[in-house]
Amino acid sequence: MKRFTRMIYKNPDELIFGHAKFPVSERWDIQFGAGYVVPEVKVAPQEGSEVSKEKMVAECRNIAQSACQRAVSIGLPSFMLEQEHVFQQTNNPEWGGECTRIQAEILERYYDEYGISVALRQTPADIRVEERAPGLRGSDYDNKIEESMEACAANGASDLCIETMGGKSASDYGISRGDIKAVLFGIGVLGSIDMEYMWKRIVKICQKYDCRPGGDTDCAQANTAMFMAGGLLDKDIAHTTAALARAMSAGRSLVAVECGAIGPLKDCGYENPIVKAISGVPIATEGKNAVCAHSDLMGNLIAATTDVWSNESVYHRQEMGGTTPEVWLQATGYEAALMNTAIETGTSETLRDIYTLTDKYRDPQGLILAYDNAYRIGEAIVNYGNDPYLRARAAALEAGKIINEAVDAGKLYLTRFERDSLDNALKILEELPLDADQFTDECLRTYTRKVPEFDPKSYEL
Amino acid sequence: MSNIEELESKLDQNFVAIRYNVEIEGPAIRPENDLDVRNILPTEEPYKSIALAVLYGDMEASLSNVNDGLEAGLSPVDIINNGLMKGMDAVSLLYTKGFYFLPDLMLSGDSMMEGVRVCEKILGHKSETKGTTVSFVAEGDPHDIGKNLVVMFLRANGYDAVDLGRDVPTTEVIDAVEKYKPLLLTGTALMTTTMTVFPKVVEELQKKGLEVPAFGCGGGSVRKDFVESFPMSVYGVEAYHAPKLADSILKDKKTWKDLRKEYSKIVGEFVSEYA
Amino acid sequence: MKNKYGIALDIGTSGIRAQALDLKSSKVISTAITLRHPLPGANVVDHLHFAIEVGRDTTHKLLLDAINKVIKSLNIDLQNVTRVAVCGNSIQLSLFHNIEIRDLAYWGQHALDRLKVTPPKRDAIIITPEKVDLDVNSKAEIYIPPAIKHEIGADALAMLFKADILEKEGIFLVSDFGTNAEIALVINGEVYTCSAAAGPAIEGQMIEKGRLASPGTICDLELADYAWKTRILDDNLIAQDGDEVDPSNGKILSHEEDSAKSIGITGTGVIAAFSLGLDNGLINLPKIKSSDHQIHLQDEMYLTEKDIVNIGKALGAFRAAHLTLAEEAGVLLEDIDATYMAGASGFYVDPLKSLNVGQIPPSSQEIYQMGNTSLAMARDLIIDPSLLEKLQSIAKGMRSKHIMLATSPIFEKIYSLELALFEQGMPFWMYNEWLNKYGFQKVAPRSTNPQIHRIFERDIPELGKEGLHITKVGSILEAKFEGCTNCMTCMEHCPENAITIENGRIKVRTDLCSGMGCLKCVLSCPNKVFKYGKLLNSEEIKAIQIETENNTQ
Repeated sequence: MKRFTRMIYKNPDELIFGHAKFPVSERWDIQFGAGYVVPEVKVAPQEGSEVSKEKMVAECRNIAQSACQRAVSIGLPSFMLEQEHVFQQTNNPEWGGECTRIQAEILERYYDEYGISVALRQTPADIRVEERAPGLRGSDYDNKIEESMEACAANGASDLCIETMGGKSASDYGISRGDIKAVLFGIGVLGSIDMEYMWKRIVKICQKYDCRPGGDTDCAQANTAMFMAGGLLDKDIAHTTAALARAMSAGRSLVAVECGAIGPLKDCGYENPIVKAISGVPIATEGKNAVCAHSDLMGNLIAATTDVWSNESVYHRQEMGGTTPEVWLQATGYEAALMNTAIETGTSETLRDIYTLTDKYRDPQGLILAYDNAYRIGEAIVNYGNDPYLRARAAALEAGKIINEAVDAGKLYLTRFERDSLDNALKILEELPLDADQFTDECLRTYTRKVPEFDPKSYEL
Repeated sequence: MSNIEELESKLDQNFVAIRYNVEIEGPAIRPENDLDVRNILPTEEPYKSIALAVLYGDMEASLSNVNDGLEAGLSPVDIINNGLMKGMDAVSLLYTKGFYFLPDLMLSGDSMMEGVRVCEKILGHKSETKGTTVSFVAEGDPHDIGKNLVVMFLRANGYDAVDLGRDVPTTEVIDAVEKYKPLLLTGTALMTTTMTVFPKVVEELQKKGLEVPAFGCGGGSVRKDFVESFPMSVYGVEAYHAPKLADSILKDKKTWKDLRKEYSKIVGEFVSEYA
Repeated sequence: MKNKYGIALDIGTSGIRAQALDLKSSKVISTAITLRHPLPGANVVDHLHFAIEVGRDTTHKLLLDAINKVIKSLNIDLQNVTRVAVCGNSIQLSLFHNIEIRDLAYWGQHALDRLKVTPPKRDAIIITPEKVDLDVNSKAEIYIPPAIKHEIGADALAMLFKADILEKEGIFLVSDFGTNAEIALVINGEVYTCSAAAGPAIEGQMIEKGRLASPGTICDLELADYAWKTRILDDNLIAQDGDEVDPSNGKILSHEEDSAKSIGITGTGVIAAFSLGLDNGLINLPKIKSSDHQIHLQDEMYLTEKDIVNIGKALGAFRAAHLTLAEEAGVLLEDIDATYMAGASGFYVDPLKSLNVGQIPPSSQEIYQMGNTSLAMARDLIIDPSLLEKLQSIAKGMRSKHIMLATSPIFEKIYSLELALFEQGMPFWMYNEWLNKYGFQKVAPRSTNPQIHRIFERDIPELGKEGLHITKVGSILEAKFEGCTNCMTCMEHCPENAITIENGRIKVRTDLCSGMGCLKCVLSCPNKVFKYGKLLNSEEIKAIQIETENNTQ
């Protein structure tokens, strides 16, 4: 496996929405990062539909049908439909396969009839349970994920994604206690190990079919930190800590690309701008049009470098303006239209900068993901590119530096909580060993005892 | 200038987004950057580093800075007055401002005292202080957190605070008064069973013809009316009031009778017990 | 053959509880309780201080008068009582037994040496009713269980015994919450104990509108939209719904027709208000963020900022004690397998709120509310007197280490953090940073899905077919002071209206008097002749009078 030790982008200014160094083409005549932004819609089956395969398939059909109908009704040139599996869809691979088949059929019909460019992303759920023997590797659940991937690819998915949760036991422990070492161990070391295990297999499956390996997101870890950090007034964990966790997660999510994933990377990976800067692959992101799913503090900024603009997730139900697939595709569709207009009129850089500036100093996490800073963190990562631990650590240290510079320049002010948490975390990170094995040994000793769910065997440690 | 920097220069950030957490709590600043602290802290080295070590409650740095200063030939008295005490003054100020809390104060107090001890060793005698005070916990009472705070506040404010410890027999208190002639004696008790020694202490002092300007009594179950039921005593409400009472005895020659009458004014705040 | 009875007695700091048992069927027949302790004062040190001032014999007599009154209302023929078992802390049991108490009043050697006190053993013992003047059949046996150690009494033994964890593998935390909380951390049978002086706020005392748990008191609050729904104790001490009130202004949002009028707030009610207030931001330590800086509850009950600081410091004593024990024992609080809450306040409090405010470690996963374990152990003794010997061997054989919090440097550091938290409003994240800086464990985050095991409906599970009887207790102390001018100043200064003056004689009602924590009568006396220690029980006065009369003859 080849690690990234050099930046694919040579200049942060080249990072911009709708353009990636390595665009991706999928069937149904769609390209990502090839000069335009594709809107995405993702809708979760309503509760109760998981009771039978028939109900689930019907639900997925309706979601696809609604989305397609609205897309042509409002004139979208292209869109991506993503189906994120609920437990039953992944645990019963034939369900997932059948749902994919029916959705592919509908998409293809609209593609044939209207010439609209479409894509179908299937995202099986990571249903593995670390604390249940035999752990993350080789369990029935693990095998079911693989079978489900294959069923989706075989039945017409145009790309595959997953949100792996390797390392979550350790990072959860660290996030809830402000223990930055555990966070780094969970994301940088364990997360990276588990990604490699998972993604080598996914890429192999995709190679057998006309299906692209998309990407992964550190939803299980960095997003946990982001949500626990919450709004400006919440104090469960410091926003600066969440920002450091985010920087680390870029090193971890990059592993999917190193294993052969080509993008667009998965939407809820807020670390994606950094991964894009390093690897040149197109990315999906979500922000202001994902408010139906959760609240973040960078609703515009995260659009600056996007290639696929997503709504994250919403239950399948009726709103005043239509069903949720209709409503939310319309929201992401219009935003993509704005970006595409900017691209066509040669004003995309201005729009990108406006997106960036609305949120750059709202919160430390937004600051480090602004494209210029994301680029800097990317550089820190490739400097230690061959070592997943050291590159995650370097990313966090660089993020700390970026925050401190903004504070010194009087552009961002921190509260005492954010300040102290950042100072403490940076001090700990700086003093960590420079040898990955030594760090891993130390962490194994500490966290095997402290985190009952953590099982070193799941990572072959 | 790239496009984004140009745009940024045109933008008033608060027009777009307000960090309400910072608005409400105020931005984090390093303690030495507080404007009032800046006025207190010495600007020249090594006093600055000595004071900063106290400000950060860094015992190791405090000791090594003091030792460096002594080796460089500075006088121990200067190190105490221009370094250690300045650092502690800044700590007291930040405590009053609500920026520092009790544990900060305790840690800084320890760092300062360690430094003072080293200096006094060189000096060969106690350094010049504002005056001497004596503190004890009543006989039969082990609860000494309150007393420790009183001692810390007194020392932080430049007093030589003699600490007799916990469970102190009355005879030892009398002996200490005889020996040190303190300008303030303090007694604390948590249990109602043990606070009864306070009037006995006064009785014994009077028998021996001894007197202190004021005998501050306080602690868990001790109440003002009890304390004022015998002479020489003043009911102390908060540990940090102790140095203010001592100051008023020292500077304005106040007696225990004055302290009872002017308590709120002397400590400079509203005290409901004295309202 | 007539039925033989046994009486189980628990002498608590906040009151006496007695139960009559049928020895044949081992069933509870009736229950009688008092809503306060017969001795003046709000806590056990007050009782102790009172005993020292007034004399052990008078104190013993006041206590036994009250106990005799309580057992009378059990509604059984006391002549058929053949067994009595009594449990409580060392102070209460020593007052009951009328043995040395001064060793419990002073710490360290100085005072004890000066007073020439020899601490008694406080082993398990069987005594006769005559010895303590208990009005039951004179041939009855009275069982007094042993103290574990000097500092840690039979009540602590009771909670450990009833939790049944002394022989189990694992880490267990057992606490009896009261003004003086007994706390034990048991690690594979090794017991670390401490006693945390939480103060009377935890029982609703020293709180402006606070009251001991009794009918009409607010014992819990629940969130109902933005209002707080009151829970009030009814005449059987079972919580019932009260009004829904907006806590920031006292506006009644929903009135409960059947609700009793509230007369005060119990300790658990204060904890509930504290927990809800912290959650919704009404409390921002040390301030209350309502326009008048008060929290308003049903029937014009309220809590002040001072109340909040008081309850906070009491809870802080628990948290600091837990952390100190864990640090001394070298374990993490988050590794505790089960948390046991004993006593009435440990029973009536909502454990989720206890987690929230730090009364028990927030990471507690399995929580058991055991109720009154002292009374339960007394019942066990009645049913099987041979248990007494077994308890003695458990107490002596226990591998235990007592941590004296007042002299523990760990506790001092942590408690100073609590003071900063509650008095100065230091934010909690800083508290954790400080623990870290000191090299102690941090407070682990809240357990996401704590399991609560509450077996009974009441802290006393079985009241018996005759039900619950609440006995009023209190005696009159009387004296004539040399030099008293009948100026009535003491009477006017008494905040509890406990004093009357008749024919130049001062009479003090012990059930009203706040005791040694107050002494406004003594302190206000313009002629300095009011001597609390000279007050005697009325009956004793009679006895003395008779004696004097006899002498003159």
